[in-house]
Amino acid sequence: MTTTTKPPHYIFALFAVIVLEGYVVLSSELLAIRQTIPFVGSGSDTVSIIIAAVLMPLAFGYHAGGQFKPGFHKGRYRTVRGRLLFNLTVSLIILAIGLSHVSITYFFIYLIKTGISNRLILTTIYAALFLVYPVFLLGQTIPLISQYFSKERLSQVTGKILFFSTIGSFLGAVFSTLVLMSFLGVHYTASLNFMILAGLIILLMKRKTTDLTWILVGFTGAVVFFNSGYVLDMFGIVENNKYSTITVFEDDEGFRHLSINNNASSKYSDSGEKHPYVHFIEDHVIKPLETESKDPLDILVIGAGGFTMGSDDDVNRYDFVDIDKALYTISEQYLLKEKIGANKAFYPEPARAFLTAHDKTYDFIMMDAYLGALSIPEHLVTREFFAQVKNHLKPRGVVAANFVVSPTFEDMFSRRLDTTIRSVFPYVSRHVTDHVYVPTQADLPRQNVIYIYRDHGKARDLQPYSDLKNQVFWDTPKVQKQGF
Amino acid sequence: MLITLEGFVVLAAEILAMRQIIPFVGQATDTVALVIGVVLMALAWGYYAGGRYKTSERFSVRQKLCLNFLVAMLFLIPALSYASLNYIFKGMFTWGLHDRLIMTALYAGMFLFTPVFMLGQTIPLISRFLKVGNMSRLTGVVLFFSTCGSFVGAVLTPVFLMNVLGVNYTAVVVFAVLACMILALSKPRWKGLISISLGLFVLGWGMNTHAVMVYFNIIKTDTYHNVALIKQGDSRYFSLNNNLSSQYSDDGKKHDYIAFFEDQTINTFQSDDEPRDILVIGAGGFTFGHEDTHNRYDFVDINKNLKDLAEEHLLQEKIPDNQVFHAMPIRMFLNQNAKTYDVIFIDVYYGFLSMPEHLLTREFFAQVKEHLKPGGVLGMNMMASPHLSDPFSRGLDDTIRAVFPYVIRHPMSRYYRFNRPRAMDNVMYMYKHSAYDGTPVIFTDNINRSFLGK
Repeated sequence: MTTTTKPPHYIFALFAVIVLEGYVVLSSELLAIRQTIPFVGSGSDTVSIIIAAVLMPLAFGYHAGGQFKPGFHKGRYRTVRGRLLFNLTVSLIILAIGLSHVSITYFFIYLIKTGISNRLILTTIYAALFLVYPVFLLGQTIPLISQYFSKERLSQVTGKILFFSTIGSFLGAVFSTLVLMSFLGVHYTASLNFMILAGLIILLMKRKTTDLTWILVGFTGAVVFFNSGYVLDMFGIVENNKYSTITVFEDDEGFRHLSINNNASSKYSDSGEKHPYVHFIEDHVIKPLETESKDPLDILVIGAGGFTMGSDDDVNRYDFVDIDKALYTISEQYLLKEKIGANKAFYPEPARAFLTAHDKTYDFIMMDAYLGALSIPEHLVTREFFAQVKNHLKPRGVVAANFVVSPTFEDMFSRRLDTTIRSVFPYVSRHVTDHVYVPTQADLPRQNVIYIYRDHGKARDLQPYSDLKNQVFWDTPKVQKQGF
Repeated sequence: MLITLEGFVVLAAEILAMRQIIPFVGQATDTVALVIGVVLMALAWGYYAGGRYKTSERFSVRQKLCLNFLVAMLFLIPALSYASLNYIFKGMFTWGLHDRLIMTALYAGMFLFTPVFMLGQTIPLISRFLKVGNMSRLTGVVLFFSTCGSFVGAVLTPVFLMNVLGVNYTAVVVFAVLACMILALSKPRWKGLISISLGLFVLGWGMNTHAVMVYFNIIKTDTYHNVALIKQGDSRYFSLNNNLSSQYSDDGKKHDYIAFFEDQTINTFQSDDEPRDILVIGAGGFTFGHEDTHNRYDFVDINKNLKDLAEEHLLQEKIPDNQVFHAMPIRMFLNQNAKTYDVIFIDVYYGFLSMPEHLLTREFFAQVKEHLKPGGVLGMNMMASPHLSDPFSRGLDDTIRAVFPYVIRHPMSRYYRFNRPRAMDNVMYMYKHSAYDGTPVIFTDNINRSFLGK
């Protein structure tokens, strides 16, 4: 087959297939990364598993597509068109399950109930079941389509094919995340992928109005419905953008909960009750600091959540920083059910970008971006980030950070996090909000642990007290606090 | 004889002073050094003044010596009696003096310098009665007897007298020796002097009787502690050197930090588990694990009287058979015993005034660590700033973390008191002895393996 006999619209259609295939593969990869965050977190490791589960089958797909030869096989004549239709249809069916919020939710719930809790294993099973095969099939598209082009101008055609394929990938990477996920939401972005695949199938069908066409349209319509706002509302999802799946629900006791990527981020009731760690910070950090200062405090909250920190405070000046700008209106509308105070400014931007761009210093900085054990942004647990935070602290200012870690340092992450924090904040308190340590038990679950640091100015270098050089009597407070 | 007795009185008074002020200013090196410094300086000036003293017809050397001893007695009675010390230090505190070094300096300056200065004149004054045949020999003999007296005062006082008679009656012995010295030098016609000295002795005795101790709730005084029993409601409190060391009631109520650490350790053990080995450093009132008859306990404390006192007054019952008391210095116990433990609880830091310095060093903590079994848990109750606002709390934190890198630090009050930088509270350090004390790893922008540990 050569293109010399094909009309221009036919050529256009072939390149359109290549562009859209490239778009669907990259978009599906990013959707898979985004859709699995609520269940396996956003670590580099899980992301790398998904990327690997796309790249390897893509490579094999290219190879398998190149090996395909039209002709009789087991009594049936196999055409390139038939192969493409098969590949696209199977990909549509598998991706429709693998990228839909409803099916993913039940899939992970089922796996976790069966006792699989390791996020790497969960991710691997997910990727193997829902990504590897459809990407392998989609990867065959370019070599299969290339059979329609003339071999005489191989170099030129190869360049064109790779150009359009990469344009498709580019759009899948940029357009789907920056535009579609931001404006339509993740679920509609996934639906668009299904519609593109369905459209490609119809485009490649010789007869456009067969029963198969209506079955395909019906299936795609059903999948799009399952990803519609109506169905997501039933799951309490009020926002599903490129950063977060945000759920709001009310429990039997009248508490409204804001869940970000399946992590209970914020809690609020009409009587102003919040998560215990928020009350702890308000009562034991902000209020004592207020007694020291005549002026309103400057407070920075990194990780806005539901804007519950200081929600009753109309005096101090708050700067909330969060990458997800949707949180502000969602919190006002669903969680707080009132306008956020005028003393609270919101900066919808990445935390490190904010700290780099602003020189303002604060009396108190609250780091509350670590939603759960799975969703700890890696760039916000480094020495450099903590140093950046410290640079924004006023003299005698206080920094607090809320983590979900092992209270007794049972796991490597808890220990290394502790070492990292102490490398920047040398004398830091580590407060377990539930006061449950039980160091004799090895399987103690992770809990909210608050690190609290106060700037004590330039203190002299202290060394451990030793038998040889023991300055303890020199350091012991000379002043008694109580009488006899 | 007088030279020997003078040497005894000076050293006994110095040791008594150091022991008696512990409940008020602690037992740190600096306060001890202040007392020693004042005594030595007063002695030096006393020697000098005694050598320059010129006799007159109206006032003989004998009269001078008697007067010196009388003045010394007059000062030493309030200086060495708990009742007067209690009011002296309370008064300083009420007047706004809270610095323990200033309080110690004032005490030593006001009540120790003068009597020691007076007593220091004894040797040069008495040397006038001695025949100067061989100056070198005379000097040797005088210094020998003086030093012998000092030796007896230094050894006999803490090792024997304080333990057998108690600190209060040891002070009475010092007053009695001074009174005897006056009587020995007095002439029968000096009735006024004799009467005053005897009156002062009776006053000193009266201020240190058992009844006075009972008035201050003190049930025992010995080389190490003033042990007081205070009753409030249903609870009985053991006070060691003015620090509320232990609490107990008939329904088993204890100090919060004791109950907290019991909840973290022994209360998590199942009754059908193999008995665990538990070491309690600093016995206090033996309240930790008192109801536990299953696990094996070793209590270590320097004060051998604590067990009987706890059984009789605080617990009001015998300590169970599974709990063994080792009355010896803690570091000596750790040196002599290779036994390892499932739980070690260190409770020797009664208050920030009474923190034994040798039990706050890296070497001590390393010694303790060596006595932990794999997976064993260590708890340490400290008095420190909840939010590490002072050099001591930071130095302590540095020292502990130098030995126990991943240690839990829990302020018992659960309040950090950021607006009260000088606030001190019970702070519980807890450590689990695990194999993960390896090279610490820091997450950086360049090398960040945080995702591995999630």
